[in-house]
Amino acid sequence: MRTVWVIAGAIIVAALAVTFYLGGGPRRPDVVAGPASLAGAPAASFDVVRSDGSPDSLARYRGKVVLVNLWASWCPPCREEMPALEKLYRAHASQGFVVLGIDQGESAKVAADYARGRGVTFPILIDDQQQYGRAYAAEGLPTSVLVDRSGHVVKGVDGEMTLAEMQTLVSPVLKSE
Amino acid sequence: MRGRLAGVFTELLACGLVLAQIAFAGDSLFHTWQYALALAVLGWLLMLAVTRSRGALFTLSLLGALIVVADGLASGLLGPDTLRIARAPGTIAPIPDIGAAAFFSSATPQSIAKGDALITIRRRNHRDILVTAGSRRFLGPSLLVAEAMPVAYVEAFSDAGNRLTVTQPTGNAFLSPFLLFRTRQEIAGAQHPIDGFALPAGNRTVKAVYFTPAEVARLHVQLPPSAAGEPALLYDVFDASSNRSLGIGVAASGTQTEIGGVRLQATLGTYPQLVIASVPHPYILALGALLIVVGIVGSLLQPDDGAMRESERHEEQHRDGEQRIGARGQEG
Repeated sequence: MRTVWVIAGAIIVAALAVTFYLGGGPRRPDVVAGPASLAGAPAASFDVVRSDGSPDSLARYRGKVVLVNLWASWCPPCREEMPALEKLYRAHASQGFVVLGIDQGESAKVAADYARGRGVTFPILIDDQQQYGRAYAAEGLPTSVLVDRSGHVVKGVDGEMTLAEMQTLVSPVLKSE
Repeated sequence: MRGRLAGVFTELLACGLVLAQIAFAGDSLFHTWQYALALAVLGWLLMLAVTRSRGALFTLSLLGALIVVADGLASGLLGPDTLRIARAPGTIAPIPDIGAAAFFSSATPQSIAKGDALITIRRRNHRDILVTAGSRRFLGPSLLVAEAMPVAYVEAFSDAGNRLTVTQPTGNAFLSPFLLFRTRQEIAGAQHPIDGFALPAGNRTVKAVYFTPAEVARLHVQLPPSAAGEPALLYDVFDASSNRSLGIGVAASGTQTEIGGVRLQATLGTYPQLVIASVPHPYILALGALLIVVGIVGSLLQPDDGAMRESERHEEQHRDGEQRIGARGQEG
């Protein structure tokens, strides 16, 4: 009789232990990821259009070092950052570097007029459904994401950067590849 | 025989209570002490039945039921509370608990109207698990369920017809035109999903309240005939600087309305939220169920071996008695 009790007790303890080992314990809340958390991940790409209406996407720039810049014309820090982005683009374009300005949620005409007025020459993409903004976990505008030649995120940056900060971010990636 | 029937009944009751955790996954009842007590009582009854059982095969089925009870107790008592993860389309939610990340599929106004979006669970060195709305997938002692929730894809335009960026400063995705309605507000005695967004270029903030087609019919507002049977949003548009309301309006899914100097249009539909519920571990449950079935079927097919032994013992005693009587007779 005692043996039966021991066996039954052992079964219960074993089942409890296995279940606890396989998945028990308190469940932690999920972590909200910002752009900085994307380092090393494949860079998301969506088919959108350029400000002139031609189709374009990040994937088309595979093989180049790309600084994705999420922006909007109403965003003051985005406007302040634009001249530095243009200088960076011109300085490194010959090394296989491109700045991809992806306007978030505005009409193509608004973005194109603004870029033309500021003498911007790098490609401006129109993301009217704000897909890039969500995929890159943007917590504000501007948000910049550096993508290497293999299409992986090197670093995600929330907020405005100076030209010096951009150089510090981009130069090692251009040199290493 | 009566004891055996009572044992089978207890086994079935225990299995029913434990399987309810899978059928009604995510219900908070399974983490209460009352549920645990009910299972513990059934476990105690099963252990009593084990000690009284005379058939080896039937004892096996009782031990199987004990395994099921232990599995149910473990997930109810030790299993973590249900986790609900609502994310904007095209975003990723890390889930450290199960060593995975949930990829919420991209969506378009058309896809949310159809409600066919899915969630992909990715784990290192494992196959992807696709969870579509309404489907259920086991992941160890967790059950992954995609619950269809109301969602709105919002588009906003200026008076001049230029598209305006939609932001959600307090939402889980800043640059998302998808409203997930994670909170509810009581309006006229009914709970309604509510959300909000900002239009920085237009200096506006907007509060949006979701109404089902039945609720729209009770609103007594003038909507175009084409909007009959469609859900609708009630918009309350504010000046972002003064926080003063500039107007309230209702528009059905897919129709545009102008309030406070901005034109608003929303496509309403559904998008899944991921529910991760603790359930009994399926392998342990399967083992317990197998022992129950083998034990019960085996004891039904075979003559009652315990009763056999008992009757054999009686027969032996009877023969023994007869022999002694015979011997006495011969002696006499």
